[in-house]
Amino acid sequence: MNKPITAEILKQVAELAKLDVPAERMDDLIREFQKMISYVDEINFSDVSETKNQLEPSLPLRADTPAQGLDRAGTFANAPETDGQSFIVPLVLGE
Amino acid sequence: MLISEAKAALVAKKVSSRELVDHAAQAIAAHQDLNAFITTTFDRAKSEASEWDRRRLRGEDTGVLGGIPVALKDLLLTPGVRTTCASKILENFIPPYEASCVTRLKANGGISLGKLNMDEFAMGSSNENSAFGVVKNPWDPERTPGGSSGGSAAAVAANLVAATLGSDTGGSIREPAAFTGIVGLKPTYGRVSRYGVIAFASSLDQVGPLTQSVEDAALMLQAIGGHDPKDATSATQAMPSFADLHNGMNGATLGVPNDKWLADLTPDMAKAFADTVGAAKAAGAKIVQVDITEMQRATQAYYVICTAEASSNLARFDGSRFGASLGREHGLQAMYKKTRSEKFGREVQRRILLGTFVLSSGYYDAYYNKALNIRAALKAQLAQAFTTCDAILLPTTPYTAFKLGEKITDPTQMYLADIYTVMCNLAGLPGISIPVGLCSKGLPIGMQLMGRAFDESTLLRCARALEKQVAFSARAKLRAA
Repeated sequence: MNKPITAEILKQVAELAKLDVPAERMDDLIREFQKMISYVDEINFSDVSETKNQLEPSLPLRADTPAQGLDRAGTFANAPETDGQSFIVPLVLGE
Repeated sequence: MLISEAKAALVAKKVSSRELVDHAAQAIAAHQDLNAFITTTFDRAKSEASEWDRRRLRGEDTGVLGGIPVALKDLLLTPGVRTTCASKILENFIPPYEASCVTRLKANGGISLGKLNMDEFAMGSSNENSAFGVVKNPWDPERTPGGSSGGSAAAVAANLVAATLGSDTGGSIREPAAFTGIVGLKPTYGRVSRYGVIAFASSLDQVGPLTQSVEDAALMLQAIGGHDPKDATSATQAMPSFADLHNGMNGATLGVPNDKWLADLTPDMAKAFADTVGAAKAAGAKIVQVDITEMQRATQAYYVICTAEASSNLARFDGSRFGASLGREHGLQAMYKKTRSEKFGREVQRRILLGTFVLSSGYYDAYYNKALNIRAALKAQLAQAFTTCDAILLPTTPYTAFKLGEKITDPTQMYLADIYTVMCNLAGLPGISIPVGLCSKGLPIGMQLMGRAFDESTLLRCARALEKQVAFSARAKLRAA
């Protein structure tokens, strides 16, 4: 692939990853990221043949009966903000 | 003290579990300079030890391990005891439920003295990526113990506890075991439950023991392994029997890779590998050559796959349900970004970015899909190799423990430490590292055996025979606290 990494590409990827890239870190991060991509680009992909999904064995099913899950106390034990029934997060609308 | 020796001493009433735990707590306190532990749980351990002593007095079953001091890598969930993954984002996280492997370890007489330092979210090969400071190699405190299970390795190598649990996604049990002169076992994928194990790469992660002997590794695997209905990837294959552990090579055939795949070894390592092949022959193994051409691109394929999976697994750390939460006053997106950017370390952020990139539109086929195909090809090549041999012998690492700070500035240099270990994870196979000698600098050298899926019996029998033949007995000389 040998694609040069630009600030624009890095910003797009960072947005997808929900990470901020501060301006003072941009050059260093582009350099580091380029090194990682170049390392992966060392692979000769030309002779890699397409294969079917290798996942095996198939994932198990269980009986459709109620099971004991995590209770409310456990679920909310580490919540940054909660009313005891929901996780409270900042407003979503308008973003 | 070996687990096997401790068990015998407990049964003979020469020592109590409480005395073993007290001794371990003193040793841990005396060697805090190693920084092997993030959290210690001495009071709990002493209380549990006393209970195991009472059970023994009553003639009750004391499990596979009998009530001995161990410790846990800090990505295994332990209710009531913080579990940080060596990250600021989980600095104060107290799990509400227990990892299945921890439940089983405790039920079998493992008494945890605390949670062990590691590379943040298991991403690293030197334990220099921890938010809680580096871990020092007991053999030389200016050197890394390896990673990501650096604390797990240091604690065993320094004889602070009898055994530890680590995790291995691309070599994170076997590499630190090699760097610290101990035994490290990565079981077959699915052999040990991943329920309650904070995930790095879900198709690669596996929990396993770090111990001072192959026999102890077998005992620990018996204590923690087996099918778990709570883990959808948990194998239903029966646990291995280790009844023939001490039966020697017994006609086993070991495959060794073609010389060209060993070109990256330092001269010390190259000689050690040749000597180990000689030792295997002397122990009764037949040696055949295996050619695994996919070795040449396995590491790069691994870094595409593991970072892709990590980018997905670490998406849950967003400040909304657990862990650190910053920037809430500026809205939802700001909360996500500020929390993750300020609380994840640099290596974690780099890997999330790489993983997001290789999964993104326009790059998915070129990188991720191709990496999966390389993985499939490697698996097929290894399956073919195992029609001609019972286990494959190869180095664990290209070099011995490097100095702290030596490779941290160039991430891709660090990735090269994994070239001999990632194959086991990509193919889901078991692998074990055992110490075979010292290099010219007096640092331990580890060699690795890779086995067939679910055939830990043969793998550990061969490993035990090799361990007996090389008779490595050196121990780290700890500096006085």
